[in-house]
Amino acid sequence: MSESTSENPLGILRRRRRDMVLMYVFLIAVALWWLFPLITMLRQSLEYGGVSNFWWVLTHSLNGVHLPRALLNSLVIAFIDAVLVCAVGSLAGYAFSRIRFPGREITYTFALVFLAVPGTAMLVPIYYITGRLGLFNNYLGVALPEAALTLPFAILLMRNAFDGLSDSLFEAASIDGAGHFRKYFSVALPLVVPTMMNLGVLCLMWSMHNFIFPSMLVTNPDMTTAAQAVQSIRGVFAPTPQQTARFFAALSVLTIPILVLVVISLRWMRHGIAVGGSKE
Amino acid sequence: MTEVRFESAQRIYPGADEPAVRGLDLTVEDGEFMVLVGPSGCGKSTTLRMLAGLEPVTDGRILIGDRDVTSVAPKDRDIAMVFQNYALYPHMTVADNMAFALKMAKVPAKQRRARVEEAARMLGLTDYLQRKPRALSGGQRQRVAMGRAIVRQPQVFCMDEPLSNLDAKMRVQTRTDIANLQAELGITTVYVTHDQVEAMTMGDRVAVMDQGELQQVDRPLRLYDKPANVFVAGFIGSPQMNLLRGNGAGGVVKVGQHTLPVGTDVADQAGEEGVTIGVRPEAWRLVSPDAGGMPIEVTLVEELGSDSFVYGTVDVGGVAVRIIVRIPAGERVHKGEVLHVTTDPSRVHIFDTASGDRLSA
Repeated sequence: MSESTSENPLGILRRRRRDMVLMYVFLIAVALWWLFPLITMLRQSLEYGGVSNFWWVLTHSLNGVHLPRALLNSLVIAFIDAVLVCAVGSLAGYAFSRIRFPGREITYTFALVFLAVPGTAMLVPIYYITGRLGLFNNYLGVALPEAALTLPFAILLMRNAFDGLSDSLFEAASIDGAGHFRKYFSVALPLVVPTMMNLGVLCLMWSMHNFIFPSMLVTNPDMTTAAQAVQSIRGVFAPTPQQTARFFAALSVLTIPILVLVVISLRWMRHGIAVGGSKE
Repeated sequence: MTEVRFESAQRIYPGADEPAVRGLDLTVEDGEFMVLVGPSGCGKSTTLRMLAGLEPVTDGRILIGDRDVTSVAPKDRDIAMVFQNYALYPHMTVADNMAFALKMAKVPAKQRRARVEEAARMLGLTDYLQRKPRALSGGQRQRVAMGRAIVRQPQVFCMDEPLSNLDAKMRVQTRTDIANLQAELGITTVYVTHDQVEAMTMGDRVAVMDQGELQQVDRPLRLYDKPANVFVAGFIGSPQMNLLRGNGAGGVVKVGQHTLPVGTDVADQAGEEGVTIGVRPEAWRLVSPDAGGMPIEVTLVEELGSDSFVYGTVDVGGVAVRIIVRIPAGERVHKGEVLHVTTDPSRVHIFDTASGDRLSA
């Protein structure tokens, strides 16, 4: 591009437009790349029988696993996990952010260290504890350890969110007569709703992706989760074209509802509610 | 009867060597509008926050009325505070913002509504009660913050630079509104600002602070006419007082090779470093060159219509010292000219250079 057009505002706009086109081409290419496995799965599932493959996998027991039930199990566990993480994480985050107590920073650092501990390293203790609590084959038995492992992240996220609120809001609330619980519920929490939604959605997603805990802590086919089912129903399908198509139909049933749920919840991942109360 | 008393109140921040507020003794009379003024970091905000209970008192005590509140929780001090950034709850409506404290105090809903409506009427906020703060202008938010303080009917108002986020015009108007409102309600008020014009126009009395210490407390005009030390002299008044170092001898002070009349002999009262004399811009008198006076080379003229301020320099022993002179609007002065000025002994302030304390009566 010559020097004269680069100084012309119209020239810059035209060049921007070219940049936009390039960017879209790139984005579409990446999206296709990511969507490729999903598209393949859907295409395969519709061969040799089409939509009836879906009907078949939804109505038959596969190794004792009913797919709708597996989906429901996943959802319930994910929901318990998300509620636990949001509740405990935001309370802890508030305390670390807004209450001065001796040992605060040390405790906080200690909590963050657990971000570095992989869940697999704790499989044995978790198995042992869950057994002692009598929570095998129980929603809570899976949701509790999941929540525990997500909490360090939740505390980090929520503390940052509360730290980001203006100190004077809390001082005003103190003078107005609010105690810590009142400040948490009436002042702090409504202002971090977007962050909390973010956290909740992430918990749902991570929990539904989780394969290790359910497969270790759940043995009853009725309690099987979607992620676990992917593995456990494999043996049902013979290597015939029809059976393979049905297997892909089953996989689609297990993944797509979760995908839709996550995409819908992404709408919550927006900020901008907490604008305008104070002027900096 | 709500008098506020600071008794040797001191605040040392953890890890700091010097106190942010050093042994403050100050009494705010019942119903008085007391302004704390000073430059950034002078301890004025810390003082207010100690009164509000947001900052612990390291030493000494604070009394509201006859009650020692030094270690009482903020909510039990019966005070209301207006913050610099207003600190309105963004997710609540104006009405809920104003009613929050009453709700905490378990005031019945009907009474709450009545008090909020009354305050809204006083502040012209009736039409905005159902709006959220973000849908209000800066001036309206400021009034909501005031309203939140008023509905509590507290014993003391604490205001921390409540006008500093408003534009210049709004600030002047709100200044009068707040002063009128306070006079009407008769509630003891402690008001913090760094703006000496605000301090002078709003305060019944003004407390000037610097480096954590109280410099002087007095009525605004007394501060202007009889500043207790060099700091107050330089801080109060705009443009600021001309401060010149010199040596006293007889009835005059010699500033370099120039002589200014001061009336009394101050030589024996001053320390080794001599005296600092202060002359306000309006206290200079133009004289003809042969009548003596200090020659000032004009570097800038600000014409304000009613009068003009002349900024210039005077040569004191080879050093150019800045001088500000106010002249009547009629006089024509141009950049580069040389003016000759002198003053009257009655309008000169004399301070000891070493201690900064006032020597003249």
